[in-house]
Amino acid sequence: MSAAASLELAEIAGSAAPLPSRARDTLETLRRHVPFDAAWLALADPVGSSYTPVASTDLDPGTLGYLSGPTTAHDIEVTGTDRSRPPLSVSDLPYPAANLRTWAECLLPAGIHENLSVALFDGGGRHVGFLALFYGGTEPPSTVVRRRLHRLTRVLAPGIDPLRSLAAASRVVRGATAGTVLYRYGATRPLPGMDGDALLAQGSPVIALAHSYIDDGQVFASFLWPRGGRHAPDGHVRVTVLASPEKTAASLLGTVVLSPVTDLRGLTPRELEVLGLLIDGCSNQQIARALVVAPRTVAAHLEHILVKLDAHSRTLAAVRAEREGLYVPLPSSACRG
Amino acid sequence: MVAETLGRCCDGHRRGRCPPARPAEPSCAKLTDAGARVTLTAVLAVQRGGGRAVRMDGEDPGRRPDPVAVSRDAVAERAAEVLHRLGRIVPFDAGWVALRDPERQRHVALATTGPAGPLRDYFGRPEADDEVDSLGLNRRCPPMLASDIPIPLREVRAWSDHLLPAGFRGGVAAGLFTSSGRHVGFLSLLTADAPQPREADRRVVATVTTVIADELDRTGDIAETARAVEKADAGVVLTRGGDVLPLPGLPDHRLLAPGSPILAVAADELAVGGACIGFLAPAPGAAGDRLVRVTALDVARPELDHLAAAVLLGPPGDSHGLTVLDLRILGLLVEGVIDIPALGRRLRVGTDAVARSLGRSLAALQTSDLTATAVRALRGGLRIPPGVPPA
Repeated sequence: MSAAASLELAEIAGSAAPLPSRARDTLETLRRHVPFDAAWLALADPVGSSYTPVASTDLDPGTLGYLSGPTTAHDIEVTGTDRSRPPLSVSDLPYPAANLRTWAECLLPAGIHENLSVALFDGGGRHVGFLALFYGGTEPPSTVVRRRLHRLTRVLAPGIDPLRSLAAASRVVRGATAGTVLYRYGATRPLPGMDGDALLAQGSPVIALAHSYIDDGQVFASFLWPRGGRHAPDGHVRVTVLASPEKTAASLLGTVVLSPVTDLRGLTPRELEVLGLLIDGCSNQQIARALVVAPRTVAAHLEHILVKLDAHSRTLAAVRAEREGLYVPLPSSACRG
Repeated sequence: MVAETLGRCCDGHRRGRCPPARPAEPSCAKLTDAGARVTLTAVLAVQRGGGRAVRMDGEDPGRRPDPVAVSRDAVAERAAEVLHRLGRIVPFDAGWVALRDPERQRHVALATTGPAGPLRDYFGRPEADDEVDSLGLNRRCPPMLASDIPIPLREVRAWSDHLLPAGFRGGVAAGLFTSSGRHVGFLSLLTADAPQPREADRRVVATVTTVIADELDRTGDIAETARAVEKADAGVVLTRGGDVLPLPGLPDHRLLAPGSPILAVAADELAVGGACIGFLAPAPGAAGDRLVRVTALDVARPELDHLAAAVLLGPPGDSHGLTVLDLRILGLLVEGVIDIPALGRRLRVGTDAVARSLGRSLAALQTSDLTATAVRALRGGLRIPPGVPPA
């Protein structure tokens, strides 16, 4: 019975349906195996301590609003229900339910007297979400129900994991060597299965740029970044920015993935800088000022760039470089609109 | 000579018939009932989306590939897992799971277990695919036991040149066909012990080949990636040879029919570079300026198979008030046509109209020169490439 439930839930988790509908199906299926009067399934926000509801049943808007607020997040933390542990009922606590504000102000007045709550973690121990089952009766949930929910807990996380589609999207990056998940306000968290990299650390210029691309509404962006300093003593690395398609997880912006650079067309680090400013729409004068060199030097660089890119005009050179992913953004570029 | 014999013996297979199935033994009947199928499916399910608890054998599911993790080689990991799980329900000494590239007519190993070197050697030979085909294994047939082969094993090149010398005496092989009927690969399990695998093993393998094929079908991964990158209304998978395959979960579209100009533009642009390109195209049958957005993702794994790109159609998004003419001019600009008279000639409009259009584009894209305008148009997919015909 529990095995069949696991399989059903795993099928929902693996389905192609969008996250909110997977979450709804998860609750519906769960209800057939673990009875409840009302339920609340929410995503954990890894950068703040709040929860975003993704599915619920039989809860009125007032209760839903309260549960998504800071008080509930606080109570979840206080009771340790945000840790990996078997489902917890309010009757397990050494003090009365009314001592918790969520119960006193919201759940008890709504006629809810019992619950089973459990934090949902992925295989790597990442906190994905939170599930609360509510009961109108005062009878504590039976051991059978608790055990059944406990056994099903680990199949629940994949179904609502907002990183799943990000991981799928990042498969377009071939030979990825490192990656990170980007959240609101530039916060970063590890991308499951990927190494990190100093270039992707919180507050790094690459992360700031990735943030600005996603803010501009770009779904996909790719550029080069010099390793070891502006003059690329350690070569360049490809940076790919992918915006998250998951609107459910509001704080999740996207992912930034590093991969090796295959062909630089023989362009030198300096030429790549000039090319980057050209792509930004800088004139020769502006490029000269930005790089603190004479305009004639810029013209000479451009001549080499046109030859190396086999382009007859600045525009074609810029387009070709952008297409081939040879754009090196300069943080100080004055011409980027 | 060997080929001739094969040709004769397997004539029936060539015409698309499967080898005659043996009557089922009562003791194995339970394998085909629904309950047993679920169990076997569960044993093999290495589901993309998750569901760690599908393992019903009580073993620690920890070694399963994490579905959320960015896998460096997801399909090969799943293939290895398939062999690992098969090993618990079917006896074999060497196992081989391969993808088949129908355009290059070759098999590429995804995973092997045991001494699979002879299989690797065999499939590295150009005549392997022909022989596999003549044995009927490139068609949707029940798995074939080595003992089913209607001619002596020493007359089959795979066995005479590779498997018998390596000490293999028995085996079961099957073409892997997805639930949608597409041929994606090949499974071979070999034993040193002739009586094995048996009829019962064949039935076990028969029960799971479709599950295995669905696991290894890369179009599933491609669809998931495509869904994550773009909200599309239609889409297809484009092969290296220009063939079009369904993209699971999305309908096809006549703009994406084999040989369509849009597919040609998408393939050409991906060939120039970049993992993801976008542009606009006039919507078919629409009067006026209705557009569709075309997004193409490079999904080629040339070392594995012939699947090259996902091409998607979706809503056009915000075109910043640009007209079809503006978008066509931007399309030419991106191709390096920057001379106003040349732009006018290409689109059969006057130079004044070109100049006014460029003015609109610079304003819409908030740029001050043609180079930045072309780059913006390319990045935002705000252009109709010259290869895209009018609706």
